[in-house]
Amino acid sequence: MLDKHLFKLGTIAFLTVLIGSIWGCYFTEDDFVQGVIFRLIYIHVPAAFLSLSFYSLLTMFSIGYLIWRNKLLDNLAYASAYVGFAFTLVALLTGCLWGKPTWGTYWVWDARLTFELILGIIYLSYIYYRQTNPFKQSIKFNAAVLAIVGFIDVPLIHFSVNWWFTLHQGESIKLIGGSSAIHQSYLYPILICIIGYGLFGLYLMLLKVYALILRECSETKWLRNYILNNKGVSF
Amino acid sequence: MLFNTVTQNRLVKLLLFILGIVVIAGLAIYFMFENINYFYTPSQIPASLEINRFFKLGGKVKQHSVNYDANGGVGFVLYDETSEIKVSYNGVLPNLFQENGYAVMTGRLVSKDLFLATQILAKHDENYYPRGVGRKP
Repeated sequence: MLDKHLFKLGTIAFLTVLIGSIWGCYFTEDDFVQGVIFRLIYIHVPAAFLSLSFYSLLTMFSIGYLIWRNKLLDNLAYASAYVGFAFTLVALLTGCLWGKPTWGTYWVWDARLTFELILGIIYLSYIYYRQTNPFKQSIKFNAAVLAIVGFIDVPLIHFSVNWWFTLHQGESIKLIGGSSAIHQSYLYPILICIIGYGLFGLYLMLLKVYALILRECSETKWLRNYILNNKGVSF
Repeated sequence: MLFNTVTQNRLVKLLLFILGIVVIAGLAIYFMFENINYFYTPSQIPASLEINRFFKLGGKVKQHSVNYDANGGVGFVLYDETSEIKVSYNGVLPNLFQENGYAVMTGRLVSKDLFLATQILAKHDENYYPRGVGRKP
């Protein structure tokens, strides 16, 4: 039964991304400064924003796990790390592709790019450490601590363009108050894309939690009977 | 019960740990704050910086100051709020390099007011607006 609802979530997410991307790419004009290449914003900004928000989710679930030692919280943390790492990779790669025609280089070691790369490394080390033994209690504890320590990187990334001189430009979309530096016709497709990719990330995360729970139960009789009697789990 | 003694103890220990992390990270960032900057602006170039030492410079390209010479080189003036510096460069300029735009460059000072760049990157600001709307202030 959960499969049906998850599938609905996945479909809604996919359609939202489709609407946002098609609106952004075909029904808006080129940018005054950058021309056509700025359309990467419809992938790059959602991916970067979601890499930070999934890390916040990871930290929240890790804090919850450290306080309540609940297996579900731990599975949610592990799943959000996978999705967040994927978004970080996408943000870095689309950023490199966008940087070459606009700035003139694929990569610079300025504050924002370096801290985002460090976030990717933290994600990777979390996943790699967890997978050495997915069932051991002490590894779950240590990984939660790693996730919480790594959270210091998230405000560094967000405020890096305000605190230091960087090649990366400043905030275009102001979260709190003020007018955005981005035109309205671009802003709405970007917001729709962020929501769409966010829902899609949520869908992947819940799917991974589903898989993790099933893996924990792989030795149980009820699951074996279910698989033998129903010829596999339906999806 | 959600917050019994056991979980309360864990919460307190966790909050102390987070406080420790924040203090350590805050101190670390505070002490190396100036070094995380990617470039100097023209007014920030230290007076004690010796000639022929490589560093990165960033600022705004002065209008009507870009000159292309016969050998494929280019000269222009880079400025910020308080000071400006002449820059000379021989190489490929990025697409978005333009007067009144921002640029970040790597190079060295060959004299007190001439900077010889080895790499120039264009920087764009955070404003995005369609072509039809026109220049936004």
